[in-house]
Amino acid sequence: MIGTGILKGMIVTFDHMMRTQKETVAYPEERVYTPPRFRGAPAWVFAPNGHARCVGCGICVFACPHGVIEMRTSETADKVRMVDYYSIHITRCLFCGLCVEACPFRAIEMSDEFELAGYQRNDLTYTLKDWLGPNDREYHDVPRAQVAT
Amino acid sequence: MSNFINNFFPIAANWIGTALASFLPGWIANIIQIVISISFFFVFGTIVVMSLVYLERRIIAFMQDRLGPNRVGPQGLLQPIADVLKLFSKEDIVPTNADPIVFKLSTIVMVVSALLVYAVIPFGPGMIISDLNIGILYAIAIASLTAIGMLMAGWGSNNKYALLGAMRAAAQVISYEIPLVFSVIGVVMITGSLSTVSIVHGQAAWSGWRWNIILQPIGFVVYFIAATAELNRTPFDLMEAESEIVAGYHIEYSGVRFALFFLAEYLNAFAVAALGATLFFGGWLGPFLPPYVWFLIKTYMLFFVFYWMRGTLPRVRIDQLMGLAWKYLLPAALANVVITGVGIWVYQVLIA
Repeated sequence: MIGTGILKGMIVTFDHMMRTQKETVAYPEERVYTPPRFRGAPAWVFAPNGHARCVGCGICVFACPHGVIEMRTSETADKVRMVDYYSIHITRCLFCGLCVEACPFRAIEMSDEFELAGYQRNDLTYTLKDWLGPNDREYHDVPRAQVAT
Repeated sequence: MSNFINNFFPIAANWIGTALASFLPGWIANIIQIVISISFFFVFGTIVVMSLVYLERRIIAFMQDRLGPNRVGPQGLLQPIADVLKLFSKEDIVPTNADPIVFKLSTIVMVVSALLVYAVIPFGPGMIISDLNIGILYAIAIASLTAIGMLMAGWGSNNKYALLGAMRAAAQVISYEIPLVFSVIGVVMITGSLSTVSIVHGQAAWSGWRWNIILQPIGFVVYFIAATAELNRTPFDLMEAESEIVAGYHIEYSGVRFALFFLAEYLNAFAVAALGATLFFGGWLGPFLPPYVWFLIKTYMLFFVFYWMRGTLPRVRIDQLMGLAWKYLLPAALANVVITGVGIWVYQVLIA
């Protein structure tokens, strides 16, 4: 019969109008879902006791193709290497994940963090103090080294 | 009390009239009262258009699983006000090679012809500017004046897309005028009057439920389709088809002039929906609520169907458009007139 197709389409649109689940994500209030292997800014991984897993070997610094990672270490009297300064210049980072691949201790991972804008250039250099906090990623506990810092 | 609420606007108008006549000569009081009622309708029309634009964006967004405007004010309710302010603050550009007189006059023609239709729309008992005894004829004649406004805009802009849109507008509006008129004739035959108030009173039989849609279903369908085409709303918005001719006849307009085109378009749409409610859905008739509330409910429900169709149907082709008007709607409307005539004859011979 003429018009049944139109009626069918009208029913479909009415059904969609009545749905409460919409495709749009109201971004600042709601967060977009980030998949488990999402590559946000690289971040340090911390053990459950709050200690970092980094041993300061410096492989990530060599692995980084852009020289984004900067690290300075020192040695204590009982021969434990301490990481004094660790920073990632996120302006130059290309989120390739080579540092994560290179790390033998899973001490650095790609985090969920993608809001990486700042008002000054200095804001975009993330150091241990202001940024490399614990993230919510599933933590693969394979400790193979002494925990430093 | 209920009488006061039901007849609030006529009572208010009467009160203003007597208050003015108490210290002014009669003719000045008359003129002032007319100016007040006209400006009331202008303000009412602007508010209605803003609500329609907001509802359109919101409802269509919901139909497409989006959210629509929801940032300006609670639930985005102040969005139309922000839009109007933006349009008023924009630069008013007149193209160098445009015909300035025709270019500027066309907006006025559009808005005035859209507002004139409101003279014969009965919002409630006594709430009509002028109860003409040829009300329907007047409304349809005035509504088709917008075709002239569109042609002026298209010609005056000196732009090929504008001219194309205007030519399409003329062809489409004139074609769909005919089934529109014939679909209304059935209602007029049943009522025996062209006055909109008499048509509403005619539907008061069966304790207020003998709406003309029950007697004229074909007439209503033809009226609604033809009205949609007449208003250039989707699926018949060929004259401003974005994907084909950018924006049609109002492509060169910006700022306030564009806002006036927008206003005229939605005023026309609201007038047509209001006429549809008057002709087929019993106008202001309804239980419990005040008559003007019933009228607005019916009109907005009809307008919701416009939104609904826009959210559902794709644009038709130009030949399909013309074919629909001349091959289907016009014969259906003519058949409706014949069937109505036979029905009235049978009713008069057998029952009355």
